[in-house]
Amino acid sequence: MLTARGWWFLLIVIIQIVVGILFSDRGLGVIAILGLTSLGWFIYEWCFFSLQMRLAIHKIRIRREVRDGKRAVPILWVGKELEVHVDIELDSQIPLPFVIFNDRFPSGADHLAGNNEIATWITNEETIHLKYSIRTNSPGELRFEGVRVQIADRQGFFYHRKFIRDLVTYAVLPPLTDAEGNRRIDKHHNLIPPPGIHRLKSAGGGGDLLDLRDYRPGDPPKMIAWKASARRDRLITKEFESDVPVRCTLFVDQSQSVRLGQPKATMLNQLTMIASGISQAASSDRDMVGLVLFDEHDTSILQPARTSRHQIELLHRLSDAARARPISPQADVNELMKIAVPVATEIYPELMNKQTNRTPFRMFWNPLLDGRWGWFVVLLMLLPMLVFVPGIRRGIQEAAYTISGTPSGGWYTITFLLMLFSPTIVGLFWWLGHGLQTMFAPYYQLRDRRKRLASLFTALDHAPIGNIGLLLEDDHLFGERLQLFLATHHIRYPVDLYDEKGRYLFRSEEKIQTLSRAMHYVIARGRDNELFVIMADLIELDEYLDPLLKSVKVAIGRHHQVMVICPWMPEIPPPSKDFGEEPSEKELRKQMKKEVRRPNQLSGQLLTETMIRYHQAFYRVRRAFAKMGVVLIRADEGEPVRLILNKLDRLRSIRRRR
Amino acid sequence: MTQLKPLKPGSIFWLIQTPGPRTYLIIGIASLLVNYLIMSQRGGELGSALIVIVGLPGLLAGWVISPAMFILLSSYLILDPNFQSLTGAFGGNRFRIESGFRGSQTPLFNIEDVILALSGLGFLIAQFRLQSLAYRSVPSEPRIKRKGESDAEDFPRPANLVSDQEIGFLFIVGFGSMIFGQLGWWLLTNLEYQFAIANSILVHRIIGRLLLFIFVLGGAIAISTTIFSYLRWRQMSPEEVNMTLQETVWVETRREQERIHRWRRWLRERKGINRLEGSK
Repeated sequence: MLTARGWWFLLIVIIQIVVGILFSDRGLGVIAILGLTSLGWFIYEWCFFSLQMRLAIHKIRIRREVRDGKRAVPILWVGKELEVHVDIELDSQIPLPFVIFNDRFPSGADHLAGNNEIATWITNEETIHLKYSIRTNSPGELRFEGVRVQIADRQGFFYHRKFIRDLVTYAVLPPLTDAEGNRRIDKHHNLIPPPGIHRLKSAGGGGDLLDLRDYRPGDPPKMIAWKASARRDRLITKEFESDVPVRCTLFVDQSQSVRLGQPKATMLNQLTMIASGISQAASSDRDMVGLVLFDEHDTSILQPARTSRHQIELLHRLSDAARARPISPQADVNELMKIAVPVATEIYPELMNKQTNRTPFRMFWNPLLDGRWGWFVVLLMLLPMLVFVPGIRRGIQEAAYTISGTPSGGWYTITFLLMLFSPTIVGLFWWLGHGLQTMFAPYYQLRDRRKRLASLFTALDHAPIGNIGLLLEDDHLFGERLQLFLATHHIRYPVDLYDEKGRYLFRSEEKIQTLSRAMHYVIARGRDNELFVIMADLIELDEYLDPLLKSVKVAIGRHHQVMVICPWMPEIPPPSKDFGEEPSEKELRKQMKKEVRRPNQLSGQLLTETMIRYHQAFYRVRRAFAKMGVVLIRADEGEPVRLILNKLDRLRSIRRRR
Repeated sequence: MTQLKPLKPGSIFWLIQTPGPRTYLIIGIASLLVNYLIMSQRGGELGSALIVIVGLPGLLAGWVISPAMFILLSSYLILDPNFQSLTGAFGGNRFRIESGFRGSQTPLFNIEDVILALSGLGFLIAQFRLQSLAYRSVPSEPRIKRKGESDAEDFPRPANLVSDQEIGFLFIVGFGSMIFGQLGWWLLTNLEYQFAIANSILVHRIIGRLLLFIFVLGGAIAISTTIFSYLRWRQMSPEEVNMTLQETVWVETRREQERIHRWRRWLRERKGINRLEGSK
């Protein structure tokens, strides 16, 4: 509460008073009076500030609206310009003469104009208004945490900060504009059924005649072809084509590997944008679109439909998927703590406050007996008991006699006792050194930060108290919780990609199994020739593709169409068209040499090798699918949305019998 | 029409042209002049001029050290006007503080002392408030800057927040503080007789006053802290209450928790080693 300026002033004033008192006997008490006058002013300011801090600051109320034009909106779209309006009111009789309000800026949006911070005063008669404009830049979620309030006195002696948490989240849906841009505008053939319908050569209730057959009892009389019956002299029934809607199911990968990268440019973002474009364009053509989201363990299925409600639900699911952040199974806890502590202190100041979240000094004592070598200290402590063994006692006595030079007396006794208890002394020093080691930097800060974060997480999760101890000792669990905390608050953090043995931590074979299961499920419920679009990061998983390839085979066997869209890592240059469809390693090396900045340095060489490896893995996966006639395209290549719409168009015009 | 460039806070032109800071500047300079007159009347022309020299840069250029120098220098000059004892000490004489010119007693509400106290306080208030207006008003805290947030570390108090009411109230607070100072001194000298501490054989009179000051100040701090702590507890949010209770249990069971989880970690590491060995 007291700032450095305040402490200095108080100290000097107290010195002045003490000096005044010391010389008061000589009629120089005026010095003390001067000091007491200053102290009086200081106490007044302290009392007034404490009242503000204790009684007024809690009664600040916030009202927030995100407006698109003049209308408040509950859902946001990517790329939209929006205005954030925050009204702040004080519901207390005690005014705040100097206060700084800072509306915590949400990530996932660009700041356009206005200011999210204001320094002002506030009374219960007026409302402070903050207004600024933003533009959303990626699908997912916009999270407004609340408003940071800093109050200070007019002199800068006292200061208090509070965060008024007013959590409001807005779903940011993928842009609507793509749907219009990707609508089917080119018509390849004239004889196509109306939008949303395609012909299937199996009998149904369509409008076009499919075949004539003999009458079977039970056939409706209106289906009888009277002219044909008259010609053949027996009852003939008409059969019509069946008109069925085109159905497309999107399988979108939301596993850990696609979440990597900068928030705006993750592979997951690429996929959700494409999926959103396809679904909007297809539904504007009245085609049915379904969605399957999958990761390493779970699948979420949205059955194909074409209503606008379904469309919004699909976009919501994509937006939910896009907000996911990567959680590395192995994390550098100390590095993450450096980022998490300021965030936690900013958003949860009262829960990170040392008055509430305590770190008692005795907590930093590191007991040796809990360690692996604790028993050895006990052994050292007990060693003097060997004095009861006559041989050893005699040996010590002789050594003491040799050192002191006398067989008895003071020196002899001291030397004897020192030799006898020397293991105990060594053990004591060891115990002391081990115990004290965490009381100094850097252990002290690390332990202090970790304890406070562990307590905060336990309180936020409403976990049992034992969770604090668990988080203090378990690096793996604490690392995951730290990442989750940072991801929830949309803070970027370093993610370890490789473990200590150099293995890639985000290569998940499990997702292939999950995807394969999901495909079987959807195929089993598929009606006729449908389109399945697999949007998944399969690169470097070519060894594990078998279950997926089998599922694709089943789909093709059931006359469905399959397409694969593979996201491309943004940091890696795409394949060059100069070297044909599948360049050799030599050609790849030639291309990478141009792309990498310092190809001869070690970092450049490593980068080159990584890029070549990535390209080769992509070609391997493409080859595996090409063997079955399945097209695999890169997410950043051409216009995947248009390609898929063309595929849907072709499906519409396919005429085949089951 | 050309737009005028906004004045930089803390500059001389800003001090003169902006209404709020200008008022504080005038109060500060006036206080310094009054202080100079009173101090020079007490026989320290050179010393009082020195106080003005120390004080002015504080007001005009925001010297952070200026208020501390002002307090210490004015205290010293009351003890040793014109640095006679100090210069004497350099000349080989014994450093000695003479008694005040009014004898051994310090009368209450002496007009000269009252004006001196008011002028001193006036300068300090003006100086600190100007510092807040021109430079930093809140301490900087570590935080992760996000895109779109201002980079401003120093956040001065905006000059337009200085109201007439604030200036009027400043005089009331100044007078109140002056009365507090006088009454405080009266209490300090009166209580020593009340409790007969100062006349005790065991405790020297000065020590008695010091002890009284410490007791009174400590008592006042203890009482006010208790009141404000009580207010804090009353204002606690459910999360804070939950955290307080959680911490209480944790402090009581800390050692057991740590021991259990340390062994669990050991077991896990052991299992990991065994798994690696098995995979070979």
